[in-house]
Amino acid sequence: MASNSITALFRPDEFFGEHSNEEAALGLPLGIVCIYSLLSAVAGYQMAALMAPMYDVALEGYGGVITIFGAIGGFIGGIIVWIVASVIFYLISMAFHGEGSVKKVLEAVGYGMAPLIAAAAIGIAYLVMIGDQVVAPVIHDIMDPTAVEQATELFLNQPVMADFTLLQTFLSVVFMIWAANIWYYGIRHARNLTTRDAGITVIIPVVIYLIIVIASYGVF
Amino acid sequence: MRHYLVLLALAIALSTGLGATGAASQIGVIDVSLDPKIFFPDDTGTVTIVIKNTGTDPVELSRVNLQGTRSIYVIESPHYTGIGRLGSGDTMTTSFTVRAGSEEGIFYPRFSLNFMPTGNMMFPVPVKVDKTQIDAGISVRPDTFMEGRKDTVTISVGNPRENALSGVTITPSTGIADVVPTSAFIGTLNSGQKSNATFSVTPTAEGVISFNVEYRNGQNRHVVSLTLPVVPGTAKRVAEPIVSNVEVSSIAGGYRITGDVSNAGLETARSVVMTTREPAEPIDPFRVYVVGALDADDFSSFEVTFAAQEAEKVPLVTRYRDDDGNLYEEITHVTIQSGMMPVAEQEGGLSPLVIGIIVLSAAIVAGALVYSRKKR
Repeated sequence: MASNSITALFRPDEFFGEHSNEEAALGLPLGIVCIYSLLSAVAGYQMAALMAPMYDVALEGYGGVITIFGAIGGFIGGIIVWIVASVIFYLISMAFHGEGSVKKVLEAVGYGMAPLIAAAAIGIAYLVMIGDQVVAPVIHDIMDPTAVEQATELFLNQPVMADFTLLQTFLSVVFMIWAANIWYYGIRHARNLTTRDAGITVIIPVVIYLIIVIASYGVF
Repeated sequence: MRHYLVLLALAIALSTGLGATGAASQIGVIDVSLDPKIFFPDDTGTVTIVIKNTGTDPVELSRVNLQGTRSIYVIESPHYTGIGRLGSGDTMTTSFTVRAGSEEGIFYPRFSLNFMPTGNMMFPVPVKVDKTQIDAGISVRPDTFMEGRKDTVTISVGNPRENALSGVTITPSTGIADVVPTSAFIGTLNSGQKSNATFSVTPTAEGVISFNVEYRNGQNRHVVSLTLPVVPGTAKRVAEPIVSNVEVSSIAGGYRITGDVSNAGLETARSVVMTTREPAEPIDPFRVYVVGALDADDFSSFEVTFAAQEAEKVPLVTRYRDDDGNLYEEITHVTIQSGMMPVAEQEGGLSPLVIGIIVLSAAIVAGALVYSRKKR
């Protein structure tokens, strides 16, 4: 099982080529997605816990609720990435007369999310290290959008959070490229596409995603 | 002839005697007034007597007099000798200045009238001397005064005498407190009546405050002095902010103190503000943390940020006000754990850790991509 994952990570062409004629097995991909979702939940919880003091005055006593929502949001986000990416790849590959089933696409996308586990784990470890240095400015009036915006900017612009945001953006981009590489081979074999068609199918949504990630960091 | 002269003399004597008796019966005292109505010992006042001729014939008065007693001295008497005729139905007012002696009691100076050619009339005037003072006391005062805190002191005055006292004024006198108002005018206090005057007292030192209750009985001024000792201490009903659950952590360029401030007193602490003081230097984002009002038994979290170099302890300042706006300050010394250092502030560069992670991640991913595309 572990060797399957490692093969998918480092020799995806060989891995998906060998399994192209087999029935889709979603067990391991689902496990990968679950691990990624759990780590996303932990990261969501961490961020919510750091930001919760901002609402101590305006939403007194709701700190616990905020952190729980942060964790739930992180977990659901991981699952959604898997499903949405699979659907997008499936729909785009339909334009190239792809032949494989949705399950095969889900399987390929699930394996491809393995590098994202590393990105999430590194982010969590880094947040643990800097957590006690993060200062959360208090929002006194949550109905005042300017005050909320200023407090959020103050929170994100403090040196430790600025470093974390940069690191998170970089990890998202780099490990997404690795994931895209796995998806490329996975989709090509799952949907029986040519090299060009598989490249277009994967590159278009991934590039759009990367542009959004980089833009949200403020590069553009 | 001799008998005739004797009879004539008798007739004249009889007619004159009858005339004098008639004059006394015609004159009556119709009003006696005293000012003040009741004297204090040694008070000076006036006795005013109104007489009236109630007869049909005019009466000739030769002298009007008031004779003092051993405790009532007549000190001023207008010239009432040979004052003339009082017509039928006419009245005459006579006034005398008297002074009471030092004894209490009821005394009877004697008012007398002499008629022309002969005859007189006497009338005792009751004058009461009572040394009962105005009743003055401190009815409201704080259990304990606090330096710089405004408290209320109420002076009550009552009049237990049988006559009214006028011009009642209470004047505080001290050099160790700010007392407002500087004087309270109560005015006339009728018999059995009481009144209060309230003063705001803000002590600045230990000492005594005198409240002088001045009043008039007729034209005589009297003073009763009340003494209020002021020993500043800690009042029982005050706000008492207590800082607890204190945690110190490092932040970029300094430290952060988080904790709870609770009001363990019996009064509301208003405008509670948390900050730090030298050797700490408050820094953003929480130079000052405004907690606001803290009711008794209430608490709030706070957070302050500061920079401190080579300091093991920093004073955490809790400032608050009472209902009157008096400012108080409590200081809690917070220890910075040895070994705790401010996180180095980055000046336009990434931390080495972030750079290391980025480089390593990029290398791993690049290696994985190259390896995955290697021809086999």
